[in-house]
Amino acid sequence: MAFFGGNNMKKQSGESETIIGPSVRMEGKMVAKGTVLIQGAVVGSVKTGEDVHVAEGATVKASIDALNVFLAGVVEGPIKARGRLELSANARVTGDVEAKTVSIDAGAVLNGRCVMAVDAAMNEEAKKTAKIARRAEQPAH
Amino acid sequence: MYFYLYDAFTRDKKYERTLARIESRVFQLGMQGKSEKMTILKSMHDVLRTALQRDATTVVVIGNDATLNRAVNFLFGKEVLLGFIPLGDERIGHLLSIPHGEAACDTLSRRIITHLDVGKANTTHFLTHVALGPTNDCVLVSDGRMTVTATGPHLLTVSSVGWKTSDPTDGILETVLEPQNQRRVTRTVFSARTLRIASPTSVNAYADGVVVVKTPIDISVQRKAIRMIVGKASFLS
Repeated sequence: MAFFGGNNMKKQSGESETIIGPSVRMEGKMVAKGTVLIQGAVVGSVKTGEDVHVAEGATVKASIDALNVFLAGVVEGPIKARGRLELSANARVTGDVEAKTVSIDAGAVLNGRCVMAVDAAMNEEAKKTAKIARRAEQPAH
Repeated sequence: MYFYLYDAFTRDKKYERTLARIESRVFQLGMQGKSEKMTILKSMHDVLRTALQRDATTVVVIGNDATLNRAVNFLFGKEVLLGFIPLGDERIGHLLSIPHGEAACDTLSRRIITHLDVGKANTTHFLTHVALGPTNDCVLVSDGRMTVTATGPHLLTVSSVGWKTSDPTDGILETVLEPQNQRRVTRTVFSARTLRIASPTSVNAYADGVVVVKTPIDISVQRKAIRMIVGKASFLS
């Protein structure tokens, strides 16, 4: 879907509280209250109680912790979305992702573990399974 | 007790009629008090010091943004109510919903009082914003944990009455980086409580559009630091 097309970009700019423009690089720990729109480069960590949008052409080498995460750019780092995670066709994600709902458009690339837990019990189950899998991968002594 | 302070430029003949209307309206509204005009020999500090010694409880400055900025710098931390009658080339009155000229007297009489944030850029206080640029090579450090750099010339504005956050009482600075000479490139906007602006060479920044501050600049905001009569209650928290 053309979520990050021209008109949508303008609409996002009008609503977002934090905007990192395409000519800007931000390094460090970003803690925002509202929506974050990233069009430039971010290194470090991004945390907000609202949504994070990573636009096409943006590069993020950071952990992301948000309510909903919408990706159309390049992201390296763990992503935690308490609600929805959407990868558009141009998204390139390297890292583990965790979300309640995941939507991946054809053409998107995700290299990493994906954890989707319906409730806390399922989340714990998923973590146990991952732990067992990691132990199994370790060579026997 | 009201004390009216007229900036020196209001002595110009072109303000004669406006001043007469202001004085007449002040009388009609029952807000008479002492008044004094600044001159070459009398600085604002001298005049305001005298006013406070005479137990003025409300100081009304009549002038432009520079006038108000100087008053804020002197009255910061003092228990006095500040009023403003904008004259000449000004912007702050508009941001605080205070009309120009004679109409500001009615705003004063309504006495909508709010505690406004006051920003500090190095040793200079400001009421609305600090602006710098266009510049290529400034480095911003936000809240001591986030570094921001920009490619190409950008105009930098740090406001307490900001682009998205029009609340001058929330203790938050809004920083806007506006790219210059680049078409259709989105501006950068982020919030912070403190900001440091550094650059390899010293660059001039303007507090409230009038006072020069040189980089490196440490900007912070003192929440609800000055009592002021404003035009509307919508940014009262």
